[in-house]
Amino acid sequence: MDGEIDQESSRFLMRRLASDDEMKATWSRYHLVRDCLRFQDGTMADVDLTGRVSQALQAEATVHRRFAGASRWLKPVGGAAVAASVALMAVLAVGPSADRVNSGDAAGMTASSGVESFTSPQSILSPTPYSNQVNLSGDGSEDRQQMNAYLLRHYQAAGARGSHGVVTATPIILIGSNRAAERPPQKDEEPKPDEQ
Amino acid sequence: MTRRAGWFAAWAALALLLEALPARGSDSPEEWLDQMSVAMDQMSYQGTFVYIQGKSIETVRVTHVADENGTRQRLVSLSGDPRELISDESGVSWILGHDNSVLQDPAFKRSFFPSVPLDRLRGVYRLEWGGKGRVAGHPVRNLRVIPDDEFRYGYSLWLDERSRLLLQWELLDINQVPMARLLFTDFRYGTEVDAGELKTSKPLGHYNTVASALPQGNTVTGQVSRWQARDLPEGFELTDHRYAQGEDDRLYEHLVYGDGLAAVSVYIESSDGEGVPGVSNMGTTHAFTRRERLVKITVIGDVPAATVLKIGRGVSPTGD
Repeated sequence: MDGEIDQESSRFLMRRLASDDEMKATWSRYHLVRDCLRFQDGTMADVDLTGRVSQALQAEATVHRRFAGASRWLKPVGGAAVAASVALMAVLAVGPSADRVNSGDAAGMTASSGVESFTSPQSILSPTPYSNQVNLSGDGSEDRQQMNAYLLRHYQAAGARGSHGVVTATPIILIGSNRAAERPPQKDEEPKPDEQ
Repeated sequence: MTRRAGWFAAWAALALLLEALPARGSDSPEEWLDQMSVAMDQMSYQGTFVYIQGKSIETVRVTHVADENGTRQRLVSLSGDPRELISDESGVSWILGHDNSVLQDPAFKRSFFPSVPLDRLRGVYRLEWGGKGRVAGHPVRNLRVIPDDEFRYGYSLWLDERSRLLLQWELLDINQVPMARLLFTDFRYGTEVDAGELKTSKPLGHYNTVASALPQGNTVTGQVSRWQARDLPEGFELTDHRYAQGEDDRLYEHLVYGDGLAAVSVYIESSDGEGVPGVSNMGTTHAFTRRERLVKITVIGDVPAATVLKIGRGVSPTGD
């Protein structure tokens, strides 16, 4: 509470608080004293941080299992750009004769999205992907929307396990970063020299 | 004093405690990595960073607040089309301003104290100290996380010496060549954070809401999943599992595998369609999709293509 504890000790203390009832009580008493000192109007603080910590930890271990009818399948209701954004993903197909990742065609697709493709580290696996402009999403919007949902939920799942914080979320915000590059030329737009 | 005010006092004490911490104690890279993970989740910070990948350079503003209301984060793109990503205890909202739409997904249960499983890292990564420097005016120390195989990326991390917050990040390929870089140009933390920046540019109700195409599912712990990835790269373990079966008997299963730093999601969903199996990528994030027995299997992660391919090919029903 006074900032004098070092970081290692603070983490140890917080984990200990989650399981040590006596320490929880002491912690709460100290907070109560501190709050009474800070607030002179006689009101009492209702601080139960350690209880919340315990609840959170217990909730993580709770087993939830429900099957048929347990969840509702959510349906998309609109938002064309959300659906389209994963079209920015460069698509590579798996081919038995390929022996390396080639980002050639895919890079072109990805470059238009403003997110540059790169050549993956060569794999020991065979076959490995080679570039081919296969449309992963078939006829488009529904599967793309599903891929967006996959990405968003994956970001949550990865973040929930304490990955690199802001880094985990960054690829999501970059999707659709340069939509203008995807747009076909408008009537009043002159084609650039390299497009002629 | 109200309950909320009480929480505020407690969280304020915690924030002050974390903020005031001098860089003392263990000097091992493992401890710094673990402390970084906690700090990135439990501390409040704010800043502007550039993200460089290939020829693309993006500028993003982040506000991350941990207080009596829980942990909330808002990312706002400052270049290109307007986009925002807001996450809190209720879930995540992804705003695409040019389309006036927002894609929403309910919350994924967060670990209250996210921690790096150091024991699992030891078999698949090497941790090395790099040099010292300054990022956004803050003294930093470089920590390199080197993978032992080609199934995961490496990381070069510059951590604030005082708070352990991550101020610069590089994603490394198998030859330790940077593929992507994130660098804060302006950074503040603790009481200097303006929580007002958590507010979206306009209320979420003003956007066209797009619900997730996926069912929320129920978290399944300690239960055998119906599908599993049988061919995992070394170090990867199942960390989360969600399962749902709709009234129309459609299946949804979400398995999350991680090696302590990298995470891969495996989605198994009922599908009547046909398609060519393939690997796709968006920047450094790879996805692999194939179909089997009227289900579509999709593997996604910020890992090399070889990893999603290996995992995806090994996904099969548990009864097989």
